[in-house]
Amino acid sequence: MVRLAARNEMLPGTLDMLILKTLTLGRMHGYGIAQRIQQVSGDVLQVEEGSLYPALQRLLVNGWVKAEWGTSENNRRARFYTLTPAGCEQLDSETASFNQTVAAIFRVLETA
Amino acid sequence: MHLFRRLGFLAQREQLDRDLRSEMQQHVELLTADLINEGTSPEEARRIALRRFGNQRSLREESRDWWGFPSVESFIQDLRFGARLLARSPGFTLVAVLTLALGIGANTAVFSVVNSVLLRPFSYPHYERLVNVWRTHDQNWIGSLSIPDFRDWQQQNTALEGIAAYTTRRLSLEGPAEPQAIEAARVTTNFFDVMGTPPAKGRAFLQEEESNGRGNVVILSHETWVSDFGSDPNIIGRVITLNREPFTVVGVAASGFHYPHALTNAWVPLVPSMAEERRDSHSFVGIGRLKAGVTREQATAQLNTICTAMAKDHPEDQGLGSQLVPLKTAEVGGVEDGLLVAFLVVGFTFLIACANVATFLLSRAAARQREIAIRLAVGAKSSRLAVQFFAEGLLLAGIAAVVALLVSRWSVVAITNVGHAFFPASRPVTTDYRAAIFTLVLAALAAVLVCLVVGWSARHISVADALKENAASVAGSRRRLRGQQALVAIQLACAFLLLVGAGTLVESFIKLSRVSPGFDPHHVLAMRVPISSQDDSNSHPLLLVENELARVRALPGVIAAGVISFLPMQSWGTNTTIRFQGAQPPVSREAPWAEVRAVSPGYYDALRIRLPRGRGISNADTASAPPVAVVNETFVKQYSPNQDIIGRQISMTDGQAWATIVGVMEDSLQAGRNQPARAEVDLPYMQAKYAYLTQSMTFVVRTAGDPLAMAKPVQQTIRSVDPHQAVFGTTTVEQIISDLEGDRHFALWLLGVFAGLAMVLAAAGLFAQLSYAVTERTHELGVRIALGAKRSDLLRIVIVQGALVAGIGILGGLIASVGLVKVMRSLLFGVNPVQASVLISAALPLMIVALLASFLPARRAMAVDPMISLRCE
Repeated sequence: MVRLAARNEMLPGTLDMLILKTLTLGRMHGYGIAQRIQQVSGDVLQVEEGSLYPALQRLLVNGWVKAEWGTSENNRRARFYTLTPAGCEQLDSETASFNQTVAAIFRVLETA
Repeated sequence: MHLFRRLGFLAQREQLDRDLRSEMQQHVELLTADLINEGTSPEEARRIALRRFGNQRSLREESRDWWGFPSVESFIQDLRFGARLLARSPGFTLVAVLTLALGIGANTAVFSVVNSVLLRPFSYPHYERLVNVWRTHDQNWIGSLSIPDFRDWQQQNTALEGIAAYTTRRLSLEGPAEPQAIEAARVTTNFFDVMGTPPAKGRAFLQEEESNGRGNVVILSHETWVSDFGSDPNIIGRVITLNREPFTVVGVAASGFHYPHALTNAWVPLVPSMAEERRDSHSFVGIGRLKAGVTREQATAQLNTICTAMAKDHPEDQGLGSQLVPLKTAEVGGVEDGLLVAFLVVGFTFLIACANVATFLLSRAAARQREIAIRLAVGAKSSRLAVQFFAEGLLLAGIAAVVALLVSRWSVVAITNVGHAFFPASRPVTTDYRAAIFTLVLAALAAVLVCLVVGWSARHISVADALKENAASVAGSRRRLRGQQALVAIQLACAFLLLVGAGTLVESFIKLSRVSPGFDPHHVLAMRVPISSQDDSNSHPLLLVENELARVRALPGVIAAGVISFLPMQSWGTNTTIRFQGAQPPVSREAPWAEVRAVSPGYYDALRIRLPRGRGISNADTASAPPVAVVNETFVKQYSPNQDIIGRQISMTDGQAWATIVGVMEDSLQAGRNQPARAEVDLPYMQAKYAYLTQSMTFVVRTAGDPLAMAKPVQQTIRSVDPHQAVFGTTTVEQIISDLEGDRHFALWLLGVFAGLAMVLAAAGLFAQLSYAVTERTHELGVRIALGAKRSDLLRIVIVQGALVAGIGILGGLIASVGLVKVMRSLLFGVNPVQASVLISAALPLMIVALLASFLPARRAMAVDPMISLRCE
């Protein structure tokens, strides 16, 4: 299992990108985001709680996500995050540069 | 980063923090619930969840960093901490704040002056294009214009948008109350166009109002309209009496408009008299507006080309040239040197104040060494500690700046009171936002300076040494002591500089006051009266004055009385070319010239001016008597060195009549005691026909007692003869001289006060430093005594140390003083820049004060009890 931390040495900013991507599915609370990433990655990626919340604050401050209080599926009060249009753009550009980086790494791995 | 969004987050961070906290809580609960669902026991599930989460508090802090400005927040913390520290030692805080407030406040006051006088823009639109236009003569002297010269320039130049001419005069304004002499200007009708400031009410002058018979119209200043005419809404068209003649008010100038003088309150069209139409009758000043894009040099070149052509056509215009002076230079150019000295003075005071506070802070830093070491030991970064020192310094300086700004209202008044004769009246001194910004910047600079010093000497704090019980780290303490000594030496050097400056000025002042002005200024009242001259009337305009003089002389307490057209040191530059009878009419440029005055009998007596040869002006020199003149010694030296002057005949510019020289008077220094006398011709006032010689007269009255006490009786006597006579400029002749020497008074006062303050501050700094040094060395001193040192030796050690620091400081000041005196040269009179006597008289008191300041700490050193100081170990 890979633990996703904010200061990911390998690919910085990956956590932000994954959070943004997850939020394209709709509004979600912090725990939900972490669960979702873990699920979708087939339990390979585990989001560190210690990194999740600072990352969310960073996204908030940058205006890429919005937060509002609402009621969760089991009738609890929870804070839900939604993607903003600026967040969508950010996700696109981060995904693009991520793909580029990964492709480049692959090229090196295949040829070298 | 989007600053505004971030500021928004900062503003609601309490709410955000609450949200985050409950959100995390939620997360832990959800996680726990999931774990329980997976079959973990509830306690175990909660434990795991909490552990997964880690330290919630630090996590929240990390998150918080994203929506705040962590550095700002920690700086605010530092400020709070600093405030607590300062509040804990109120005595120290008070002294430090007051010292800094003095250093900063002095600068605020001087800056306010500089800002108001030099930096603030003038209110005339595009004032940078306004120039005063003067006539030059063979490039070597500058004078006013004649009307024909002015007209040639006006018609032929293309470089100026417009050029106007003016001359000032007093007009007596008659109203319901006593007649008053208001300052007025006779201006060409385009004056308000050139100034770019049309009247706020009514209209400017019309071209045809420049011609005879149409000129009885007046434009009043806004302030006169308000104060003397009760803001009469129907002022336009109202007829008022000026100099006994009816004038129709056609306009009211814009509020605050007073050109050419701060007190100019009325403008009338310049309708030249017959005499003023002469090409060699120079009594007008030009004010021009350069066309956009035309430089002053281009305009001057063009005017000079016109001058060359004029010189061909008119013999009077030989050697004629022009000089354009930017309005700003004309108004405030004379004060720059004085203000530079003022800035130097308060600048040094600022340095002393900073050094002083730094010395205090260093002593405190020593006391806080353990605290600092502990904080370093538990992981504080040294950069963070530096910021903390800075916060403390900033706090001190900030409070000091507030104090300085609060008192600036009074300090500015004080400084303008002293400098009133020196600052141009057209530029009132006020404190504005720029002064406030300057003060705050200076406070920040003070904080930086102080903290640099403190931080630099605290940079070597060794954690291990400091934490050792009673380890007076010898190396550290010596470094600190040396830092303090350097600071004290700097203070003493600055104080020495200021003392040298003050001493040099005093010496120059004494020299100047020993220069005789050529008359006896003590106990003489001076009072000016505008004269209403009716060119067409047959009676002499001064007949009433003759009557007034006779009655003034009869007043008890009056020893002598006379009138003169231009009192020495009050105004000068009214000159004329001279021709001796029998001599060839000289080429204009080589013609002898002299200051010319109209003088009544009694004038020489009133000022006790000696007449080494011949006689003065007497009652027999009436309008119908043969014309006579009295000349001064400089005139004789320049123009008749080898020939007996008495009996020679001269004529003036428009001289149809030859005047016989009947006497020689001692030189009066017309332009001030630091200026050489100019050649002068005095004419009996009854024989003076030129309007410029009779339009304003100054009464000079020698009194037995206080001259100002006689002001009222003299004024009443004048009014009893002529109830319409306005009076202005009542003062003493001594005051006139002192006003003329105003820049020196200003500099002397500033230097005197601040040199004194600097000496006190420097002495306090030395005292504090030595006291601290003695405390620091108690142990060492105890050991010395135990080993048999005499107590007098200890006294000597401390005093020698104080003297050494003082000596080094004075030496440094000595070197710097060479530069200072160079700057001050323009204010000095007859003083050889570096005077040994001045240096000694500055060094001596400073050394004495330094020794006195060393004495108390030395006594304490002597009283060290070896048993106690050694037991402390």
